[in-house]
Amino acid sequence: MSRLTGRLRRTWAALSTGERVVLAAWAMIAAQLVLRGWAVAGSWFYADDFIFLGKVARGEATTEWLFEPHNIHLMPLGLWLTKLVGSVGAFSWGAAAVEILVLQLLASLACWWMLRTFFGDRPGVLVPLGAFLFLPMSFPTVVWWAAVVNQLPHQAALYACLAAHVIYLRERRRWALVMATVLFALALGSYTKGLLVPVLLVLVAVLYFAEGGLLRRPWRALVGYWQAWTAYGVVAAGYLAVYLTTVPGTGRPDPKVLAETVDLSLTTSLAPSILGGPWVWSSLNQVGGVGPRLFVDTPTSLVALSWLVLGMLALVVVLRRRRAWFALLVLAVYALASAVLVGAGRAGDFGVASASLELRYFADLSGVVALCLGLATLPVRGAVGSSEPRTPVVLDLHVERRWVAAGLAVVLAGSLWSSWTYARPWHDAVQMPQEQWVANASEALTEEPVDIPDTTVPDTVLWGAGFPGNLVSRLLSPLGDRVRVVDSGTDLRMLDAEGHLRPAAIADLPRTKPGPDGQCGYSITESTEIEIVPVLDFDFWLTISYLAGQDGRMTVSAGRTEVEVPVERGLHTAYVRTQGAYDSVTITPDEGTTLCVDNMNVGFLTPLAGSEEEQ
Amino acid sequence: MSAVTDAPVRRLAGRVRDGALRRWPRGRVVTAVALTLIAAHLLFRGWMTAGSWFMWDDYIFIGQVTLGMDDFGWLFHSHFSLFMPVSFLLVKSVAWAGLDWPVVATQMIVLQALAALACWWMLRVVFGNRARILVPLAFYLVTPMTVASSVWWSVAINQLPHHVALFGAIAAHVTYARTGRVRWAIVATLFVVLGVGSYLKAALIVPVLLGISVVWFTRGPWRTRLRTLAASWPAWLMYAAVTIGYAVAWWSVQTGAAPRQRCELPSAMSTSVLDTVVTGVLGGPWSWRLWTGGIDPFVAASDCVPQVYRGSPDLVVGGAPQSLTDAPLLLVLVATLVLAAMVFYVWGRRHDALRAAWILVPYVLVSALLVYAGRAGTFGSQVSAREVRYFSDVAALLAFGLGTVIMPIRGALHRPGPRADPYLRLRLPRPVLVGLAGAVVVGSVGSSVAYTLPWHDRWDSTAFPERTFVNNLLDDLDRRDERSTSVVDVPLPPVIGNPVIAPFNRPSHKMASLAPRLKAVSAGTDLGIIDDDGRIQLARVTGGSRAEPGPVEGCGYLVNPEETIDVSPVLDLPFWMQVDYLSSMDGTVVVTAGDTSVRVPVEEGLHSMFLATEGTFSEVTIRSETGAAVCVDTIRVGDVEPVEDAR
Repeated sequence: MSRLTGRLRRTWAALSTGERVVLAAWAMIAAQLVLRGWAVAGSWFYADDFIFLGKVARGEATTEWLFEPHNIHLMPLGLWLTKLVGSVGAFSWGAAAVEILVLQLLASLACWWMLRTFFGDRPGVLVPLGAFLFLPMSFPTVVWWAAVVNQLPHQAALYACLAAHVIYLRERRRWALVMATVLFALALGSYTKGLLVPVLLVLVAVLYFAEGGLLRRPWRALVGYWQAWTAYGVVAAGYLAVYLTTVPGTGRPDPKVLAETVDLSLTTSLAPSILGGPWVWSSLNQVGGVGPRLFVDTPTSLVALSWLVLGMLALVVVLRRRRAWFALLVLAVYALASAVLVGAGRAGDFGVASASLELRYFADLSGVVALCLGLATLPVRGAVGSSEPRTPVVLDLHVERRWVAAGLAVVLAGSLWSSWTYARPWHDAVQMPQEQWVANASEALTEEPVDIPDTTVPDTVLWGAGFPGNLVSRLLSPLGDRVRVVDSGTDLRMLDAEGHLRPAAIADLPRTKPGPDGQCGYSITESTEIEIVPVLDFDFWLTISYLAGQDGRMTVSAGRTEVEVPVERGLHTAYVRTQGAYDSVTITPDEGTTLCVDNMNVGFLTPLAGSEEEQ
Repeated sequence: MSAVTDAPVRRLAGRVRDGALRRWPRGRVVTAVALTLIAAHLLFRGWMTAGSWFMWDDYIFIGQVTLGMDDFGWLFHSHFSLFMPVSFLLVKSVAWAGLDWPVVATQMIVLQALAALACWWMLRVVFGNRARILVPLAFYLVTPMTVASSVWWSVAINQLPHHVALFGAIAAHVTYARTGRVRWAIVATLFVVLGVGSYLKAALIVPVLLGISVVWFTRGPWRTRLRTLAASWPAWLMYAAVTIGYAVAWWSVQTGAAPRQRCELPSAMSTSVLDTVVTGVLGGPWSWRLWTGGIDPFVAASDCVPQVYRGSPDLVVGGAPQSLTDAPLLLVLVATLVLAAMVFYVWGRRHDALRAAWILVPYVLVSALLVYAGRAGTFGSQVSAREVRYFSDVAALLAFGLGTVIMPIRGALHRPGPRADPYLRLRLPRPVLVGLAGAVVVGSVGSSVAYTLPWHDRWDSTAFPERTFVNNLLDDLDRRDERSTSVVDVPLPPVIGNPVIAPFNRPSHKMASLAPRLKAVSAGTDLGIIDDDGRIQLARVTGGSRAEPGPVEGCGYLVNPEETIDVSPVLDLPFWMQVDYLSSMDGTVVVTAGDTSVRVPVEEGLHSMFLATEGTFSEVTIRSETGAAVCVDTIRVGDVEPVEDAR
């Protein structure tokens, strides 16, 4: 044992600084993968995930589908990634988890490559790398697959694109330019925020790879790197052309909403999270009931403290290093642009608070923060001019190494706490009932292959805004032909809130008056029209409770619907899904079929509670 | 300005500069500038005071004096846990004038002048008569943290004497520390007495004095410092005596404290420090929210429901135009950063310049704790911690603290000065400093004006409902052209007279100074009632007659000389009784019902008599004392309301 440690120590001593940095980076990336692996392993499919899985299972995931907008996102790459997991098996979280971790590894490697390319293998790179790996900003994305397929490819492409871009700027390599262009296209293909990649590309070129004054610099950068701008421009124009023709416009954002979103995002969400915040999350009473999604809920005092710390750090670094403010400028511009994009795209639909306090929308900033941290504190290799100590010294301040270490430790501890508290509800069966529900439903339908009405699943499984993805037929489509949905039938049962089969009922008063025939109600021997309380034009179910002397069939017509349903001997209920408005129902029994209709009901089907005792 | 008018002005300015100012010694120039600043301050504050009016406690004080409750013991009673004999003396000196604002306003402006002069005197004594004292003086004169004492009399009589005391005590104590002459310790003690006699927070003056001695007049290890301190034992002895005496006096008059809840503590601290003090120091909060505009948004934003909200939320809202600080979060953050950067700048360039932090930081924290203990724990931190008036003494202490950053205290052992080898080798250019100071001044004036305007609203019932109400009342009294108007003495609307101040929520107390023009009575003939707008209307008692129609045809119940009338039983609650009658001549009757027996005048003809009743009863006895025959028609028992409302 001691020989092994001795040998290890000797090997370590023999390594160059650069090699040690590489080893440390690997270790850090591995540690992040373990942490996020823990978070992902305990999570499951949620919300939009089911929409994607349903599409794939129903064979609707065609190539055209990849270019269809999802909400306001055009995300062919992301959708392709869902197809990959969907085709592995029914609700295979294992496949999704592997995909998530592979994507995370790619993003982390891309970020590390970016930092190496900018700054080289110096120990100072490990702090920005650690910021990317462990700040909670990018954490909310990894537990939610639908967010992952957007954001992690976007992050990986963004950081790698920056790296390739810098290689091109520094060495004028053609391959680097081609690579940067392809990566830009990949970023666009996974997430709308890819549109902000050029902001960084331009800022880096102008600030670090062009000479001259305020006006001279942009011109030189423009002229000097015209090939790059042309290539990026073509990609961006192509994307915009596709985007604008496929994605429905969201309308002009309200300037007040926009301003509030930007304000709240930058002041309350972003600043604390750069220091490992938000430390406190809340569920914000969001629509759709209880869910695992959490929102920033940092107390004002901690927000102020974060700003104080960040402001002082910025002041110190700017006073100590020339051109450190370039980094602050890059961060400020990108953060502002992100907030504006979120404000324009999301705040209108989801409300200011829910858009700006959801850290998920700022996941890509983790790598940008890392880059800017590096740009502020380290020289950029091969740059015309970058951050360097001021001479003569302006701020003569010697902070002991242990204080820096202590500060970093506090940030790391806060980050882990924020991450852990964020992951908790995703691992909690009460907040995430989906897995249990799907398992129960699958079990119930496998044991007893029955016809079920195509109702919507409980809000806790997928909320109503996901319509029509929240129909049983679509949500459970990965289970294949075990799910047999019908628009009419006899004595139907449906899945309840736990995923068990329960008799379906309409919890409403009967829509019919008591029938004229005392014992029988409405006695039906021939085509009979029965008046009911008028029904609006909506997708409702109609139930007909009857007593029949023999098996047979009848045709039910109501509104725009006319279907033939079986009649069974005895006391039963017929179920028919109707469309259109109507105030009477016509029942036409087949030859030889007579029945007594007791009452009829119209409304939504709900699983009958308390049927446990009956069984 | 055109060249024609410009030239003489420039000539004049040049002459003043070259002539008067240059020939004057520097000290006299400083004095002239200081007095000019004070005069400008008094003009501005004078405008604020002149347009303002009485509010809330003001009526209580005037009512107490008018009703003759102001005996010697009254000076020492506890008013909402404030022990303030000096303030009560100030009340006595002007309350004779009743609701006469100019008299009260004059007192406020005089107090304001005394506070400003005391600040100037303190700065001169502590730092010497040098140009730099103008900076802290200007800060004290312009800061919006003290605005409440310029518009609200009750605040002025507490806080302005407190400021005078704080400045005076600091000046005298520093002189004592420098010279060792005990007479200055006595002067300081007298100022401390003045302070504790006017405002609760004056209890912090002695710790401040102790802090000054420790921070600037001792050095070395703790043992040495203690020995140095012990040398000024006469001062500590006197201060301790006053403090103990005050504590005993305060405790002896305290009644039970309102319940408070712990969950308000964190937000009381952070809101006080960040939203109120930090922005205030830089001339904020720039944006106010009127208390009458509703405090619900603040309450909704907090997890902790204020204690009082659990009772009746109506009671929380006063008729007051007080404003709460409401700076947007972004500005709060900017203010915090600017302040921190300023502190950083001073630290990086000057040594011994931040010693005042040892006193200021604890002072602000203790102030916030006091706000929690006295107000926020009950009324909610989002209301109480946003009141600048609870932090006005912080501004006064800051004037001293600011001085110690840029000037040495005369005779102190530690003197601030530029670091020989500064950490920060960057000198802010003068335009930046001037610009910052300018921004603070402009912001301060803006914040002050914005705070003041609602107080000047005579008729805006959303900004200052109480003033509108009383204005309507005075207006009505003027138009009535009668020597005296009698109204029923029933509680005023909660916005005008909050039940927590009972009996001063009734016109007999709150409007006592309007007598004899307005008499609020508990029994009388054809009484009026003050309606919700402050207008006087005829009163009537709600409901129908409680007595059967009387037996005598054309008369009802005949009272000659005595008659007992059965009424449907009345519960044991305070009610009003209205008796409609026809009397043969003027006279008096004695009405007995339940525990009530009142002598009421009757007038010839058809009239209504009103009287407040207590206790349960089922019959009413009326006895004519003067031989007048009285026909009683209806007897009603219930609440009184304006006749208008009944229609």
